[in-house]
Amino acid sequence: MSEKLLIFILSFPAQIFLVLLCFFIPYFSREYILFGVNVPPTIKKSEVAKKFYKEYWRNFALTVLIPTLLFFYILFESTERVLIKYNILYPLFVIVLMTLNHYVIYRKVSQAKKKGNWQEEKKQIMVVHVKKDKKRGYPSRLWFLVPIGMFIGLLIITVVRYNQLPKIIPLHYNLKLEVDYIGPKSELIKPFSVMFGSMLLAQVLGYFVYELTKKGKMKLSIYFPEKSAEQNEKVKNYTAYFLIWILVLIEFMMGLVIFSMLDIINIQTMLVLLPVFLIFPLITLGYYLMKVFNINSERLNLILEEKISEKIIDRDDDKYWIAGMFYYNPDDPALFVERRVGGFGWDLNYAKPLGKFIGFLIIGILVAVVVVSLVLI
Amino acid sequence: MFIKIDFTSDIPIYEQIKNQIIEAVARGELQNDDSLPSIRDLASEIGVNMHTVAKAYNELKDMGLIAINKKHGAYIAVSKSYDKEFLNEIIEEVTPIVAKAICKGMNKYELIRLIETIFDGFGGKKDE
Repeated sequence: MSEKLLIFILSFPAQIFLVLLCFFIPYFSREYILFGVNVPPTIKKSEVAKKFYKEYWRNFALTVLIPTLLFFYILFESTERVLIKYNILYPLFVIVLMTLNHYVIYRKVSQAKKKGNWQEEKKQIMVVHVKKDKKRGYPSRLWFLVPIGMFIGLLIITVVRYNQLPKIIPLHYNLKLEVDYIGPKSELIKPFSVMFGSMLLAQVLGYFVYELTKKGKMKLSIYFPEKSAEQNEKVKNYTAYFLIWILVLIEFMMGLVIFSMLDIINIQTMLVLLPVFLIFPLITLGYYLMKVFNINSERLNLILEEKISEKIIDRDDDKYWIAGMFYYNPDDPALFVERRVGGFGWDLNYAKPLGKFIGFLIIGILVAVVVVSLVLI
Repeated sequence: MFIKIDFTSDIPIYEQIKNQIIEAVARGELQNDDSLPSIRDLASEIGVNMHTVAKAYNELKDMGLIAINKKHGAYIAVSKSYDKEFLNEIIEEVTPIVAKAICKGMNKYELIRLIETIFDGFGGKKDE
């Protein structure tokens, strides 16, 4: 049981987090977006919207229940191997189910919008910045030297220490953490290359998102453009610092595992420290989401009744958003656009050939990672 | 400096962009050498075809309000002088407005006062 318990301790916080995130996802959208549908802010503040939220959460409770019950069934009734495999599948199940749930509500909001003529007799406005100030407070690229430095440091330590290791080393531990398999140290090369490869991939991806965030376009609120521009900058800055911090934590966690494999620290220490370090990214993510959430709710509160009575609303761009989630606008030269649902981030313009390519590539990589890990484990 | 695009208006988008940049220059919010977003950037911000923005920029360039070069992109470059051609253009644009005002029964002084108010609205000392 203890190995299963360890898997449980390592995976459960992340799963809880994912479930909570899905629960709050309808709240992480701009002031004029309700389940992927462009609506006047008055609707978003109204009882009508509350009805849709309630329905989403009711479906949420039902859909999340089945995979979670299955998780506990496997935890108690099945082998570790099945549990690990299910741990990989669980987030996928939850995400797919929540996307379906979101889509169902999106359809209902869309229909209600048509029926209720929510946009009638209102000017559809958009505000654009033409004279931009320099990016204020955006973290310097130099911050990336910290995780990169850690990566290089780890690589050097690994090479030096690997050469000092005896030819035959312990390679596996039993449930009581006693060595139950020894073998040639060359067997370490495979896990090492996977770990260093994924660390490198994380760095490259992190840097890519950093650059994207800096340049990415974010819509301005038509009711308070200046304040909104300031908030947009804030969100971008939080995101960049969040990214760099997560990269540093990844290096820390991987470093712990690598150190225990190289016998620099013993396995007990690693097992104690790893969950501690695992908690940090979750806390950071929670803090970051809270900040973005606060900005989103502030935006909604900043829209004063008098402004709404001016009879202006955001431009209705629903026709460019397939299922309220995927941007498809052949006229728009932008490849990356501000995400419509699910918080802050960037989405692709799937009307562009490169957008289609990257979209398929991401799906391909995801499927490959899942399939490979399911087959290998 | 922000511009507002009204997607429900009868005025084409390129004209809205053009007019608002002219107004911003008149108000002094945009001054010589201030750079404007590139055609591509502005088109992607608004989510419209690049031709729309290019049309607005080209007309502003023809009016002598902005300059576009490969190195610096688009920037404000106003020459504060006008010629006969410009005067003719203004006469052409103002004539129907004056006619409309007369048809609706406005008198000369009311119309002049209205123009003065708008003129002053663009900023203090320009009516000297």
